[in-house]
Amino acid sequence: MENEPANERWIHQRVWLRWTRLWYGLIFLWAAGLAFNLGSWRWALWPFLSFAAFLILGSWLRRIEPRIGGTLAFFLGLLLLAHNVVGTWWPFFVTRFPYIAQGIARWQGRADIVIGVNLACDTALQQSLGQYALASQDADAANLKAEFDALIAARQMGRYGAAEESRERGLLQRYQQLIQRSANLRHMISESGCTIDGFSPIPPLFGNNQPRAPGSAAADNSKPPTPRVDAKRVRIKSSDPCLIR
Amino acid sequence: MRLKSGERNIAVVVETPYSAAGIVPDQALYGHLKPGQARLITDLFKHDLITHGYFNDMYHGDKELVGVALDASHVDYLIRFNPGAVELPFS
Repeated sequence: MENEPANERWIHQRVWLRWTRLWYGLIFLWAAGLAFNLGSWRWALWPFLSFAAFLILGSWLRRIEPRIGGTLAFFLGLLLLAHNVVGTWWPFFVTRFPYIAQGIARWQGRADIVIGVNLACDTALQQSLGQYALASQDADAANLKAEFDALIAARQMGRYGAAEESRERGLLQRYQQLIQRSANLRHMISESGCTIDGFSPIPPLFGNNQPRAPGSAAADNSKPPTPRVDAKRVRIKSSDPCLIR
Repeated sequence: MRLKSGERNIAVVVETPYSAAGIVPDQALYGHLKPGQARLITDLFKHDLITHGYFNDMYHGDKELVGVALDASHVDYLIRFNPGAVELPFS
């Protein structure tokens, strides 16, 4: 650069180069401030960095190889551009193939499980998580499955962003809460230590012939106390250790 | 918890506070129950069931919790009773 003539054209180019560098730096900081590493903004990072590398490399090539430096920098830049274009559109193209799409979905499914089992839960809870996913016919589980299916479809369509990731974490936490609740309930039964298996010796306060106050619930047939009863679908197995024979 | 084969094992779960008069409504209710051919289990759960709000969930028809309770306890029937939701003669 020291050997170049300090004519008007050279000065003009230097000034433009200075302003170009300044604007380029400002745009880069603006993109960085918008957290381009999140969501679709991350795609803005690589063109900026690639362009910066291309300018530096091109300048260096022209300096060490004045004859072919410009041509070499041009082809390298072209290769970089082609790489970025293919890399950008390749996912939209490749997900059209059914086997590849299913493979990606399976891989992402395993990633979901890894995230799910690492939500600060113990081994028993992890097992319950799997059992819940496989065995539960509960409406809540069905809703969860439908929402997870929607997220997987979003992945396949290339629409999986920060919002979907946040939604997935919320679903997994809800999933964990359901499992934790079931585990707590089992714990309360298994550790209750109850032994009462007949009626209480305490006599009833009201006999069958006891007069009832008018207006009370027992006298009012429109509001009978209706306890909720749920029958078990499966009968008790005779091999159960809790059973008295 | 002791279950008995050949009889219907019925768990009765009542959510009720201790009254000021020293009358325990749930025990009064248990006194009314005639076992007959059934085996009544009146303290299936620890009291945590109520403090954690699980009883309330089951009372309002949470099928998942009821299913877990039936499977884990091996009882045939689970009767949930909330005197606060109805007007009892002794309340």
